[in-house]
Amino acid sequence: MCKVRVASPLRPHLGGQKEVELQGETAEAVLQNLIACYPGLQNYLYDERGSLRPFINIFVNDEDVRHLQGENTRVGEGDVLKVFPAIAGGCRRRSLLRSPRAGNYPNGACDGKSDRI
Amino acid sequence: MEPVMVSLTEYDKTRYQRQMLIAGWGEEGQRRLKASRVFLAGAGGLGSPVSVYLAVAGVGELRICDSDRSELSNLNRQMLHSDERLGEWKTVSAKETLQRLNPTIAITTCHDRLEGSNVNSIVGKPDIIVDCLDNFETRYVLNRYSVSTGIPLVHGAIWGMAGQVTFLHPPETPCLRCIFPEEPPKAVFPVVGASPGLAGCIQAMEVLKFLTTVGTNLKGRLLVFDGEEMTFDLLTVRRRPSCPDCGSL
Repeated sequence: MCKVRVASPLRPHLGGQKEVELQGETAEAVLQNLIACYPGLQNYLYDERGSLRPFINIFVNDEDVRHLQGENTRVGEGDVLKVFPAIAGGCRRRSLLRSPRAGNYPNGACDGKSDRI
Repeated sequence: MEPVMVSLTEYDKTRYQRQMLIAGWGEEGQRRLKASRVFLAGAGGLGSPVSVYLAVAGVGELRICDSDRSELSNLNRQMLHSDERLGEWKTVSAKETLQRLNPTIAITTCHDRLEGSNVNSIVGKPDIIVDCLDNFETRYVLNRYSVSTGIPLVHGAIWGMAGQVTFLHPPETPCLRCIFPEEPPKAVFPVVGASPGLAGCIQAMEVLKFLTTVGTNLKGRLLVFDGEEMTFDLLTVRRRPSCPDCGSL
């Protein structure tokens, strides 16, 4: 069993939960189990080709898996897999309303206003 | 470490007395602050606490860039601005607030939108850059400028009650694109003022430590806080040799 902690923007997909415990011997296996339990995460975490989106950072404990064995990084009892997407803030242009990616993000698309954090 | 040539007035020595008591800070640290120039990208939620704490600490010159005007919906977090100044350029409003807090420092402003074509002339050659932005598009412009000039960049961002801060100074540290290779989807984000307040105070602390040479910066470490649970993660971040922005360093 591995603990999985997700950052605030992802929590609506987990019914508001911040942490869950899942089976899996690698980061990829745990993430697949996470998606099996919470299918709404599929499009958020992975692109159409099945690759982890570059703005999703996965840490095993305090280390980015990109600097370990990627999604093949082994996890075990006592490890915490952290799913932290890049957080940016607002948006600046009305054209964002037409962004095909905007709909994948919690809370919907941009309202067209610049709203600096 | 070279001595700084500016001198402190009696006013300075009294005004900054309490912070000069910090071990390693003293009059030399205060002279360093007085001789320093900081560029702030953004005068919003993060820019408010960052600029306030740098101004009252006596940083010699703040250069603030923001291309927006203040709106009513900004006022839950952007305490540089006020009801009386709604519709004003944020830079103008910021300067008025900051100059009132500390009339002895220099504040210059610019309300052009930061882009690759003007970043050189707008940012110039400060001692350090602070990312108080709301979008990765402009962050990557600043990141490339930081990498090419060797000027350190303090990154901050928030979402809801969460936030993150790191100190970027390649090749000693990763650059922003090493950590976040691609921008997240653009979206309206929730925010309560205390989140940028917390992130911005940490950013200001990083700047003050760098300028005074006191303490240790968040190099190679990404501080992520979750205000809902009040947890703080200190994550290890490293350079990516394939990074298009800093990989050639």
